[in-house]
Amino acid sequence: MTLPGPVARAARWGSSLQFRFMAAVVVGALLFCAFAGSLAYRLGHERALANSRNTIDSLAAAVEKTLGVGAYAADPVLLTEVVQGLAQNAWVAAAEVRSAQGEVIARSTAKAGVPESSVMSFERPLLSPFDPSERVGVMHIRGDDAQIGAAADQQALALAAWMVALVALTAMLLYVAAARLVSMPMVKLAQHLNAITPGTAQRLAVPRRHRHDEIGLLIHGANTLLEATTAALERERTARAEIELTVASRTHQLRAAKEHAEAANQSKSQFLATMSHEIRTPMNGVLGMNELLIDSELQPTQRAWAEAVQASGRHLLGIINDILDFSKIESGQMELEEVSFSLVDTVEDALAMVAQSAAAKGLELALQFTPHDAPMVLVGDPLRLRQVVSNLVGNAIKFTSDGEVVVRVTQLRQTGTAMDIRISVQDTGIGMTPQALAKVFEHFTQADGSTTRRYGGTGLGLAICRRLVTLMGGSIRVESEPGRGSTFTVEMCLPVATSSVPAPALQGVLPGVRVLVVDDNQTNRDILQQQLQGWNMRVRCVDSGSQALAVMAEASRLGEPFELAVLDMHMPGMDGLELAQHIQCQPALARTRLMMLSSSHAGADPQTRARAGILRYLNKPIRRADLQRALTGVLASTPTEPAAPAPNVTADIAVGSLRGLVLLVEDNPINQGVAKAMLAKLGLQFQVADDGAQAVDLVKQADFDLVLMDCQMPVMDGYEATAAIRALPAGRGAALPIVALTANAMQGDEQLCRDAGMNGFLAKPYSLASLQATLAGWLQGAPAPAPASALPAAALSVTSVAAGSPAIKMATIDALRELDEPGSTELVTHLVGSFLKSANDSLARVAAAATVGDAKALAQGAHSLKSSAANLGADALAACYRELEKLGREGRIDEARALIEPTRDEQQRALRELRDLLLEAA
Amino acid sequence: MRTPFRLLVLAAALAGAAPPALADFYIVVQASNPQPALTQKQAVDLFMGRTRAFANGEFTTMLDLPRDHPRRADFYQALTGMNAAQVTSYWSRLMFSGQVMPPQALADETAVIDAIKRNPNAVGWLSKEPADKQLRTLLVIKE
Repeated sequence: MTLPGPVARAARWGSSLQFRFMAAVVVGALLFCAFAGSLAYRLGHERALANSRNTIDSLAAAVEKTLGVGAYAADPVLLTEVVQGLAQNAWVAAAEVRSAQGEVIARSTAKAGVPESSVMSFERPLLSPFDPSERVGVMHIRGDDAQIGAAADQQALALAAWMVALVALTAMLLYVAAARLVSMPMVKLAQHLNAITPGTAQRLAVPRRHRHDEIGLLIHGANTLLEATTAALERERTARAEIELTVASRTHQLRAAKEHAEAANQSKSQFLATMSHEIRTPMNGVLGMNELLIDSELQPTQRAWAEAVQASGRHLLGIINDILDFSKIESGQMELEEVSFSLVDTVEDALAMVAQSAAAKGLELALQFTPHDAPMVLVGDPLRLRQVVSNLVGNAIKFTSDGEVVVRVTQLRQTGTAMDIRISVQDTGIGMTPQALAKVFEHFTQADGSTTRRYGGTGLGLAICRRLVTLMGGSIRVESEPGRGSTFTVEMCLPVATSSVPAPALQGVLPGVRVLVVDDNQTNRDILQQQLQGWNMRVRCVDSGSQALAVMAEASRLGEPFELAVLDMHMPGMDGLELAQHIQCQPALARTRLMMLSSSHAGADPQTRARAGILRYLNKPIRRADLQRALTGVLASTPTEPAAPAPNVTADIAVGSLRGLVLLVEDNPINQGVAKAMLAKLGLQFQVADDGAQAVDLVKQADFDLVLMDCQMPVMDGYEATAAIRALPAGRGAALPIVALTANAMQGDEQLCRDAGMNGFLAKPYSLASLQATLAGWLQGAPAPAPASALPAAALSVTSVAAGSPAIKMATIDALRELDEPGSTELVTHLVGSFLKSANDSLARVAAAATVGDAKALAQGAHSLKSSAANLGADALAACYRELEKLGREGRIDEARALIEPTRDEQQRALRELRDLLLEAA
Repeated sequence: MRTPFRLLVLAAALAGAAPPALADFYIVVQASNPQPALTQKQAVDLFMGRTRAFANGEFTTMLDLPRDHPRRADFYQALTGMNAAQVTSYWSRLMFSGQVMPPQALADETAVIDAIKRNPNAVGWLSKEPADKQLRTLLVIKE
């Protein structure tokens, strides 16, 4: 009984009953007026005409006798007199008398402007007064049509007007009467009805006049309806109250159930996290000890078994990590970082992680960026994104027995602050059926049950991927066909970093260079071609060695020899090495510089490559920056020089490669054992503390180069211990590098460690290699022996490190040397030189910014110094700047000021070493 | 209209006191007049002013008796079917214009006879058949 909107409440005049009724009356009255008026007019006209006819008739009758006498006696005077008299009448136009023979005896004088003929003419025979049978003449009277008509019109109009007035008056009276009787009560009723609120006790009163008519009936009906509505509303109200009560009680039950479920889920997650931690601790023992076992003197069978243990252990660890990730995501504890990162580096890192397994299976692993030189520096969680990409690529490799895995990173759209990116991973593997596709992102599912047996895996990887991508606000989808391969596509929109890392501008020598790409894999050719053309090189692609030779010979004959050839190692028929040897043998082609790409680390030994004239050797997948640097280096070299063997990028674990005194803080005896063995293997001296308190005491007594700090310990845990060490009065404690060891791989652990003042982070279980890599950042390298595969230049650099102050991480410098052309130290010299020149000025600016409290300038200056320092391996310095940058961003100026002095000390140390380095190199 | 009126008059005459004896009227001219005879219509036309000449073209001189002559009303009644008032009315209409004049009224029948004797174109009426040979009766009207 709710009334629709206010429109209905105030009936519009145009559609109101009153208006329509009035309109009907007016229209009806008008029509009737028209009808009655025209009828009256016609009748009036006719009557007026008849009147005038009668008048003329009676006139004629009046003079008939006299005229009869006149005609009998042939008295024209008399006749003329009489007809003139007739013509006096207004309606008579003319009158005349003719004799029986037809001659005109008498005629009235003609009136002006009266027509000769008339419809209103009268003729009467004139009879002899003495003999009625004798006609003595004819009287002729002609009426004046115009006069008669005008008079008739006037009379008729008057009549019509009276009639119309009468009808209009009648209609008005009728309307008023009807309005009073029906319409007004209706309007009033409507207004009253509208004013009434349904559901209240309001009722309409019946006016006395309408007590027994239809209006009364209507009001009575409305009242009945109102009563019914009130009753219904009352019932509804009661029912709603009951429902609300029910809902409230249900809600209460549900909330209780939900809280219960949440608590259960929480405890499940907690359980998983705890279990994971508990499992990691013994896993650390198993894997660490096993690794030491493998490195010991073993019989081949024993070694094989030990390696099987290692592989199974790593697999088990992977599963535990997956479960942990998954449970973290499920329980909503997964939090993503928001840091600036290079998408290019992240994806390249992810591919590097799985490149080995691709190479082992003989798969081409290709990476393409579109546009090829976009900086793609974004804000997000690079670790998690790398996890997603490496998972997808790892899957692709796992399910592909031959063919290729192509990763395409496409910048779809860039607005001012955000970038839409697409990462697709395409393989030529076993593919999936539509049924499998539908379930592929669900947890614990794989293409089918047998897949698990054949390929292994928890089935959690893709579920984790999807959840991670969803957390990042992106989407993941898959297209696949059984036997034809699958394509996984991740799309997301990430904010663009405000301070983007400048792209290395080292392409000066590249534009215009004629380069030949020899690769049997179409995708690789396309990607290389696009990449090289992007640097304005003139690219020609061929798919086999024989074709390459033909094309090179042709180019040479035309006087446009290729300056550079990029050869794939593994090609059917003639492989890259063979091709290089062929090229070297032909004098016309020998000036072409050669580079080799391989997806296998066991391509050929450096000496063989050098003999084949190959100047540079790069492992696939090729990093964009690496390729650019390698190309620049190769083109800068003189082609006639005998090529030096290229270094192997992956350094072996250098046993006894580090020097220094390490404090190991670890409560678990097995893990203590593992760590002790590893440290010893790395050539380090160490002391052991069982808890944080002991550690603090030891630090007070001895001069350590580094502390390895377990986080969870009895008495005093790692965080507290770190804080205590940092708080030591003597300066030693503040600068002492502390690396966290933790089995707590939960989100934020690393941040927690850094916040506690630790410099590094190592998740348990750790391998010998990761321990070495981590420690190398703070500890000096051993004087000898150098890694077997390292360049002479690299060996030189290792020996050049000033003893006792490991400010520069030589691995980084070596990696830089790696980028130089063989035998040259130009790049390193240049980079180090420019850093030496500018670093102190830049630091002065940062310090000034800290002094005046300009947090933004502080953060910016620290950021760029951080990058420079990290590039040159000054990791401790970079850490200082990272901290400064962070403090600057968070506006913690006072803390930043306190950090300026230690930073300056560290920088002086680093600069001293770099200077020495330059002197050595020179 | 006339017939019932006549019947009424007849009835009145039959019932009336001292009704005059029915007698004929004689329209007479000089014996020398070439007009052989007259029809009643011709007689009416002559006496009522319509015709003013004989067949030979000679103009007539119409004679009448005075208005108070006892036989005059009867004569006109017999001749035209009109009573005396009607005849008077007739003449008054025509005399208005002056174009047509009623017959000349003489003192008595003798005067009429004398006038006819003197005027060959004179026509008059008498209530008795004339004995005089100089007069000739053209028409006898029965009463």
